[in-house]
Amino acid sequence: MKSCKHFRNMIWLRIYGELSEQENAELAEHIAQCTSCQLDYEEALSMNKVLDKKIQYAPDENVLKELRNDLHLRLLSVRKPNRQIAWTERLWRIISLDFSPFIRMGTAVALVIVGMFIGSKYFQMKGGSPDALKKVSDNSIPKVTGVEFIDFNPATHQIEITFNTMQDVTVEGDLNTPEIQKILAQMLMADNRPNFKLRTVRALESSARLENDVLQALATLVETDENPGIRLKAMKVLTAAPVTPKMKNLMTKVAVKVLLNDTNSAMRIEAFNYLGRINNGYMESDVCHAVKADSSEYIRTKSSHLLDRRENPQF
Amino acid sequence: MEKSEKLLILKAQRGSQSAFESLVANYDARVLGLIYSMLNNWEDARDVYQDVFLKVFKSIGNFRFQSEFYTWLYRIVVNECINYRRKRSQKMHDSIDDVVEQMESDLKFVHDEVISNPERNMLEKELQREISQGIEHLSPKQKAVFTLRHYHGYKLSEIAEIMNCSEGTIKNYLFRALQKMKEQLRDYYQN
Repeated sequence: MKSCKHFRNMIWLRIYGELSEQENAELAEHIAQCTSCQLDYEEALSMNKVLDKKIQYAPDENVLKELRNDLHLRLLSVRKPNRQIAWTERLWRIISLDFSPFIRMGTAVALVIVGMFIGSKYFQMKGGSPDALKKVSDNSIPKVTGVEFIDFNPATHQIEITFNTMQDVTVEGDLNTPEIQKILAQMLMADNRPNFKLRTVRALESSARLENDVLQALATLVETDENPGIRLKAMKVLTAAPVTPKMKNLMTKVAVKVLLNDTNSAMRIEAFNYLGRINNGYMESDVCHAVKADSSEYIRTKSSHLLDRRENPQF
Repeated sequence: MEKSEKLLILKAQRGSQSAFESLVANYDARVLGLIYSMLNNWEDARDVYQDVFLKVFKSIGNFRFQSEFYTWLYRIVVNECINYRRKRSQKMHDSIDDVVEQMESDLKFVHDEVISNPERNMLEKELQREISQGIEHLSPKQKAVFTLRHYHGYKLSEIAEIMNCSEGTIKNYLFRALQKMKEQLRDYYQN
């Protein structure tokens, strides 16, 4: 059911001939039933007659001729749309910036873009090498007490971290920067939230080199963290790192501990394989014996195989 | 669009002043009528006439035949009238001389009309003035829509194209204009 307001709006549209046949019929039907709208309709008709009494002054031909003559003279002095522009005029237009608003706007936008480009280049140069931290509250690395935000962009290799110290600090820099890695190491030790730890470890997975602090932190995670996902991820980061003598020493201890103590079979398998890999397939017999009865069939089979090879080197 | 008109436009776009003047002659009576309806002052209407056609001459190269020529032309007319009124109303606030000049111009208009049409009674004159005043009190856009619809007979869809608005917006302007005119003319149509 359409309201009277709807039909009142239609009244003038009907007077102006803007309604379809169906709308006209609907309105007529409503007006026949609704006294209020009927009065409005009659009022509109009267008003329309009153409005039509305004005389529309059609300009007479003499006035138009006079105006056309004026226009003709003015047009003669105006630049024609496609007229060839003399080079002096072009030059003057450039000097006086007499361009169309679009060109002016375009130039302004282009200048802003150029300015931003130069600015970005300048600030990059001022900031030193791309490896350096972009934002740090001071040069010393503050003690991390909690992490608010961490985001790593594998494409640009940039990591952004917001963490708590005495006050919030946001740093941004290359993942391979020692300062960044020191912060990440602290975060791994200080923050108990698994999601942050996991994201940190994932970010470190992309690092070309791992600082000692990070290696120690990852090793601690592998040995002590409650979350098997984090432990496994940390283990994988460690096992993927280049094997230096120092690393080998550290990782052998870690892997043996994992192999003997970790409840997660995936962790133990990772550790077992790593030990085999860094020792070129050789493994201490004590270790092999210790895991001979491992719940993982893979480890049992592999360790038996290694023991067999040790006892029968000709095979 | 007629072929002859299209030809004139194309010639004008290539810089032909005579072709442009032929186009002007086709439209200027209606344009001047519209300008007068919106400004209600012959002197102003003559100024705006010149401004409009100079602007059209300079920018006819931008007409892309995507609409009727008159739609494009009337858009320029309406915008020029709105801008002219805006500038004039600022000037009016600045100078009392202009106010006096406008009043004198209006009085002369009424006087001329009475002299030239003695048979018209004063009541009709008063009504004319009331209607003009009512239109004067409309906002520029309401005035443009109301004038184009009521006195120039353009369809709402055409007005929407001229004013570059949706038809709903145009209806809104029209209804508001009519509401204001209703208030202004209540004494007349009720009697």
